[in-house]
Formats: sequence, structure tokens, C-alpha cells
Amino acid sequence: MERTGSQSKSEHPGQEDIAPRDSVFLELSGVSKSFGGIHAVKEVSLKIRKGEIVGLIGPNGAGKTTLFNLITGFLRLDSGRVLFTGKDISHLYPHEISRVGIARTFQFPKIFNNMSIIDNVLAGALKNSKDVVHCRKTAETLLETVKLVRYANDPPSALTIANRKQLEICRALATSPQILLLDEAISGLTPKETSEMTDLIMKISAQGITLFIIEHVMKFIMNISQRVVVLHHGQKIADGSPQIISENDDVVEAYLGKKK
Amino acid sequence: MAKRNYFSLGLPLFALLTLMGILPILSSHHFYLHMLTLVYIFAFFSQAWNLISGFGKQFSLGHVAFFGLGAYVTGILYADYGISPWVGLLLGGVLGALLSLVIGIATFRLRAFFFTLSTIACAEALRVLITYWRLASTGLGTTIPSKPGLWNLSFETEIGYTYFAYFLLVIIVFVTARMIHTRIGFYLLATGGDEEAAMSLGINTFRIKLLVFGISGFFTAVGGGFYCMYTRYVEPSIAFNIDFSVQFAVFTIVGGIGTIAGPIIGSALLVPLSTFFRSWIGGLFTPIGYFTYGILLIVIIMFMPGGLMKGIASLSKSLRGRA
Repeated sequence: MERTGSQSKSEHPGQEDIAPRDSVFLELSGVSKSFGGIHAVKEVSLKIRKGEIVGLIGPNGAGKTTLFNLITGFLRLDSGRVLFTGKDISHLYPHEISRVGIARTFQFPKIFNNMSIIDNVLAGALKNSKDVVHCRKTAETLLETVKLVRYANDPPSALTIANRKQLEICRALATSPQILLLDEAISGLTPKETSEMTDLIMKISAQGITLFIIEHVMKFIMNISQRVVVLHHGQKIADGSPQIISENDDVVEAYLGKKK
Repeated sequence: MAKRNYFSLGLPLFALLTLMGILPILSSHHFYLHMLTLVYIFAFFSQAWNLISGFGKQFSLGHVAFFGLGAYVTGILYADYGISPWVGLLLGGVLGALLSLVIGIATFRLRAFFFTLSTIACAEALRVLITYWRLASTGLGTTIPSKPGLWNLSFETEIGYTYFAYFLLVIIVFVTARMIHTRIGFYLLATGGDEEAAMSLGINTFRIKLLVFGISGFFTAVGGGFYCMYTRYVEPSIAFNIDFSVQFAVFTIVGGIGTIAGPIIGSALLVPLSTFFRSWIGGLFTPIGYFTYGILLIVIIMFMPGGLMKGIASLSKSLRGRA
């Protein structure tokens, strides 16, 4: 396991943290999941430190989204454990995972189409407060950061894919998470939109939120991550800095023809 | 947009409800008041259905189970044991809520299809159960005696029933409006919008669905109790007829599913319309009446899939020149 000497990008010394800086925040230990005879995830262990930006890459079908679903309670582990700030969260329901401080987005954005754009984000903010007026303000602030606030009362039906991803991120951030799991951060985005998303992710990290990001696009992940975990056929085949990963033979082989 | 005035209702809805409060005194003609009573009570039933199936998107086709349960509890307690229908209404409501908890606990963690199927099955099971219970004891139909008095929920004049139905409608509209603007409402809409996404925001969707389904079952049963006292007759093939389940759904969908005014608009339009088609058109050939009514419903849904409310909304948008 590579120690990367990761620095938290937080600029807030003396911030009240649940875990001190650089300590292990999210830990997977021997996590496995099979569907029928297929090992979707096999004995995956990894550690994420508070404040890190960690990338999760691998070819299609490698088990990345399955891993996210296992962490966030949407799938039950066959074996192994998931620990968050030292506490075993392996058997929690998705809504309990959220309450512990873990937020996520989905491979294909799951927007509430029956609610306005701001109400989508409001729904997330309600996790921490019953006051609808207060939560609306929180939602407005979040929408401002992605320049969507002028569409606040519109239905989400006319949003572009980039906007939908941004909306989903705002909604997840509204729950004030400690760690954010992003599934397919930039798939379907133009280069300009990708650049905006990168800025957004760096802003989120600067606020002290730990990030675990799934993405196929190598260039993006290598650029944004402090550390990269590589999955192939459900198993972890590499874990280290972007530099080390890009020179790893196994990784190159797994991705033959897939580099962008 | 939180509408903090008019008790959380928008002005149009408040105006509509006020208008509906005045209509009953405009005429004492029996058929007129009967139609109004039916419109109000079906708007009430449809709104109760709309809570779980419209806002919550858990599609129930067995709401008649609560209706019949309330009708029977109220009717039998009063006719056979002389217990006040007010007690019956409350008890029926509580039993309706318990029934919805049973169905919900059994099906809300499964795929939505199983919930819908279970509601249909439950209504049918109750129908068969009550049929054989009554068949064995007192015969199928039960007539409810009419001893006028508020305590007996029996009114000398038709208008008493009309205003009672109106009273129920007002209550459920206020409950719905309040709920939609508070956390439970947002959580319900989120659960209906995308249940997994809702869970990822810390929402216990299982609990929300149970809560709202319970409220829906409670109100539907209370309404069933009133309906039984109004028609003064209760019989399994009527009280548990799937026709009611379908009507609650159709009135809401045509009016605008997932809106507060939808069930009201839908009932206001379709109660008179369905009465017209079922009894007037055709005469000897009543199947033609049903058939025509069915065609009309299909046409409405084809041209306005979001119901009348969405149709009105997009019409007013284009009139105002907005894209």
C-alpha cells in the first residue's frame, strides 16, 4: 500500500473534525460480492484518508459501481467489512449510510423529476434541519456555486447532462457529508464542462470533504487524484499515486486500447 | 415555492374551496345536492388516493379495501349494535390505517409491482371474507336505519350530507397542503421521484411510505363510513367493488395526478359525466354509455397525459407567451 503523504486541501486549521487529518477515514477490508457464479467484487481492501481525493478506475465491468453500492448500503456484502471513522457500517441501510456522513452520486443522475430544481437540493438539506425556509437558503447557495440558481423554480426536465450532474452533486452536498462518492464524474461532458467539473471538485475538496471518484477517463483521473485505486475483474490490481499507476504493467494491460 | 398565505393553499385553490362551500345553498333540488355530495366525497377519496399514489408514486388499485372496511365497521356497529357512527368512523379509520400498515410492511421493501398487486388482492380478500361472514349470519345486504340527529350522522335534509362531505374534503385538502410544504412532503415527493436517490439523502423511504399510506387508508376508511351512512345500505359487492378503486385513480389522473387540485377537478368533471353516460345515454343499451365514457377517458388522457391541471398550466403558459 503506497503512502502518498497526502495533504488535506482544507484551509481551516482548528476545524472540528470527527477524525484527525490524515487518519484512516473509510476502510474496506476483504469486501466481496458475487451474483450467481460471478465475482463482481473479490476481496477488495483499501484505505482512504480524510481529505484525500482518491480515484477509482478500471475497465467496464470491473466492479467499480458495485463497490460503491456495497459501501453505500445498496448491496449487501457477502463478506468483508466497511469501516467509517473506525465504526463498522457494513450492514447499514442506504439512508443510515447517508446519516453517518457518506454521500454519493449515481452513474446516471437520478434527479427528482417531479420536483423543481431547487426542491431537489432542498430535499438533501432537510437531512440536517426541519426548517424548510432555512433549507431553501442552503439550496440557493449551493445552486449559486454551479450557476443554476436562476433556474431554481423550473422543472429539471430541460437540464443538460452536465447540469444534471451538477444538480446531483449540489443535492448530495446539501446533506453536509464528510465524504462524497462520485460515480462517473465526467462521462458525457464536453471538454469545457469537464474543466468546470474539475474546478467544482477542487472547490469541494478545499472545503475538507473527502472524495472518492469513479471515472473511465484516464487523463481526468490522473490529473485530479492524489491516489488511484485500480479494479479489474472485481479485484484490486493496483493502488498508488497517478504516476506509479500509469507505469504499472498490469494496469496498462487491463486498459489496452482504453486509454484516452 | 412555499405559499404561506391562505393556510398553505394557493389563491386559486382557496377560491375553489370557498366556491364549493357556497354551491350547496344555491338549490335544494335533490338531484343537485346528490351530485354535489358525490363530487365532494369522491374528491375526498381521490385526494386520499393521490397522497400515496400521486405524490408518493406507490400505485394502489385496492383502495376500496379501506372504503369497504370503513363502511362495514360504521354500518354494522350502528345498525346491529346502535353504536354512534362517529365512533364507527374513527374506529374504521384506525382499522384502515392498521390495514395499510400490514400491506405496507409486507410489500414496501419489494418492487412496486408487488405493492399494487397486494392492494388488489387485499380488497378482493376482504370482499370474499365479508361476503361469507354476512351470508352465514344475517344475509348479504344491511340497511342502515335513519334516525335523524347529528350524533347518528343522519340528517333530515340532504344538505347536511353535502356539507359533511364538503367538510371531509376541506380537511383532507388542508392536510395535503400542509404536508407538501413540510419535510414529510418533500421526503414523500423524493421517494416518489426516485427512491434510491431519496435513500442516498438520508430519507427512510420505507417509513415515509408507511406513514403516508397509513394516512391515506385512515381517511379512505372514514369516507367509507360516511358513504355508508349516506346511502344507508352496505353490501359486500358494493362496498368492496373494484369499481371504486378504479374511480379514485381515474378521477385523480384525469384531473392531474400529483397535484392538490387534480382530484377535485377530476371529480368535478367526471362524477357528473360518468353519471350521465351510465344512466342517461343508451337507455336500454347501457353498454353504449359505458363504452362512450371509456372512449372519452382515453381521449382525455391521450391529449393531456398530465391530466387537466397540467393541461391548464401549459395552456396558460402559452397564452402568456412563455416557451
